[in-house]
Amino acid sequence: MRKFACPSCGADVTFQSAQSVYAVCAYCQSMVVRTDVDVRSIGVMAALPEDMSPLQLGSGGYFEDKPFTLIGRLKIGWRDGLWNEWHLLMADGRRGWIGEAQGSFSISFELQGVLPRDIEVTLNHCHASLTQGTPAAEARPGFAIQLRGTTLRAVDIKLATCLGSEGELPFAAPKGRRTVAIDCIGKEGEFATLDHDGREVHAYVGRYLEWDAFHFTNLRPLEGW
Amino acid sequence: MEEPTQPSTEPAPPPRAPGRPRTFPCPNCGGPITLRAVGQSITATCSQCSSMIDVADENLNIIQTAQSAIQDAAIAIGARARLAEIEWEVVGYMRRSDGPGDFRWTEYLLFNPYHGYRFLTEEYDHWTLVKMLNRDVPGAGDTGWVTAMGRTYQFFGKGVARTTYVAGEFFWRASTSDVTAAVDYIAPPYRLMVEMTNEEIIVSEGEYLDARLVADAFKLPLRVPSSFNAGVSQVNPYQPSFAVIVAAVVAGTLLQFASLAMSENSLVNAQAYNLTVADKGKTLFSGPFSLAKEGNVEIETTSYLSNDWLELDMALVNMDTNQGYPVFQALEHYSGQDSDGNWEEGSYEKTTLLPPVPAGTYQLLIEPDAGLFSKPPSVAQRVAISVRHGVPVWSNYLIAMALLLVVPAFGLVRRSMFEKSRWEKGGVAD
Repeated sequence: MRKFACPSCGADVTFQSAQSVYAVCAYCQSMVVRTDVDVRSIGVMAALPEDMSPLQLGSGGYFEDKPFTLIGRLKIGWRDGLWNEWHLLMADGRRGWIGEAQGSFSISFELQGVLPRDIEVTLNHCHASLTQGTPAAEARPGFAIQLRGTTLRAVDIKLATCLGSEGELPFAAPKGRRTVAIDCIGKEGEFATLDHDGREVHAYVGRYLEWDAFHFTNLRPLEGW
Repeated sequence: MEEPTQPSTEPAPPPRAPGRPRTFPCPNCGGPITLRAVGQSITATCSQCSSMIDVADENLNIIQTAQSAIQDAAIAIGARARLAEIEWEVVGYMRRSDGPGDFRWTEYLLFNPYHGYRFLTEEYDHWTLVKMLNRDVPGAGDTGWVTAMGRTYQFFGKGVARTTYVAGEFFWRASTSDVTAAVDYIAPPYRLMVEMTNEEIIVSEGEYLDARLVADAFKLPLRVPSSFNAGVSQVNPYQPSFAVIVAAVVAGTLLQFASLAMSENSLVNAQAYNLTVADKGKTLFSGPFSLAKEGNVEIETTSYLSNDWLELDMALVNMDTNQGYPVFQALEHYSGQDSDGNWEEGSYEKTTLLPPVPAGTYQLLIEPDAGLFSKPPSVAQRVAISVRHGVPVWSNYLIAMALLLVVPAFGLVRRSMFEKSRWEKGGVAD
């Protein structure tokens, strides 16, 4: 964990994960990018749209009996909705993501190393979506991909825009950052999302879980619930 | 429960405000719109003017002004209920129909900020709680059987689902131009629904809920479907219980055979009487006979009448007690020829069964009347009367069997009527 002074207001900006390269100052909302030595501000993050999410930065949870903390958040919007991607830090230092969308929670971890070839090809087809703004004709839901020996089916393809971020993240996430996201699910609730941001492709693999399975702590209070 | 490395001990950043519903004025009419699933709902309607507002965008654009007349639903938006051990709040509802408009139903959107969303559908007073599955279901969309969630589902029907009215807030761009291809499968009380658009495939699982359970949960008086109105995924309640019937049939048959084995079935008296006109007005007596124990008495009379009739007004008399048991028998036989050929009417014999009489010594008294009494004395009619004691009776047994079998037959009919009602609700249609 490393602490820096915010270049704008001087408050502490903490990077709990060594892989986080970006954080939003909790006091002045400056977007702070970390280099090897120091930090610099790349602008101010606009206020995030309000929501009824029960999660907040600092919420704790469990996955496979191992604890984690939520250290960052992306608010993502697409033509027909919004969702949260929570950046989590496991006790063993692994980073992952909790997707909170349409009432469902998924947990996933980035697939390291070289991506399987068919995923690369699929994502490259989607590249056209980013530049032209229309869904790629070649990639429609229903096709199957193989990941770690499991067959997953693509169930939706979205052109997604970052609406805001808070906390710390492993990439710079200014408002307006666009990606194509393909969500895939397996027969037992396995989950994968394939992301193309115009320059790089990322694959995240995990599963859907019910709320109770996470044993969340330090939740945000919700009026009326 | 170890916490990971503690964050900084500096004063914590200002905590995030608690989540609360958001209220804003309708851009069309100014009436208040309450957003409950803030951040997840992207469309909301105004309860006053039913305009549809885009709430994903800060500009709150009006998507559609004032849909057709406001339609209330049995459950109001904002109502809360505990279903499947989770508390839900109704945040919206839609009226939907199939392509041609033959089948209509209502879908309520239930929200819980922790557990997400469910749909509560109401179709002809039948309720189903539906959860979107986050799993791939291979074969979803095919006709034939589909396996999901450890259950095997039977193809029910497929068609198109249209939205005809929306009220409240939704996490997708709900509109009255929503049209999806829908395929349904059933495994009562469960139901698998697959909806497909160009961009996504949504597989959901529904569980049938008793209308009374839903009414209790919402504390609302909801209609209960009549017993002949079957829900698509309702378990058929008519299970003819054969076990009891079979046991009764077996017991009854054993009883019958036991009584047959034990019945006397003995011929206690057989006499022939030669009737002539001289017997007119007289009483004839049979020889006395003894009945060893209590039992029924069967009197069989045979007489080969030739275009003639015979009436016997009889009494079985207990010679010890003078108790008389009346028996009346009428015989006739006519035959002849006409343009169609030979014809015949009547019978040569008559049998009458008397209910059980006590043991004792008996005699049969006979007062005859016959057509032959108006004939010359030379004409005689032979009448043979047999008395049997303790004869086996089949009629009671057969009536009992028929009644016993009516019960499961009735149950089978109701069961198949229920299934017919189920499949009439869009089964195997297009």
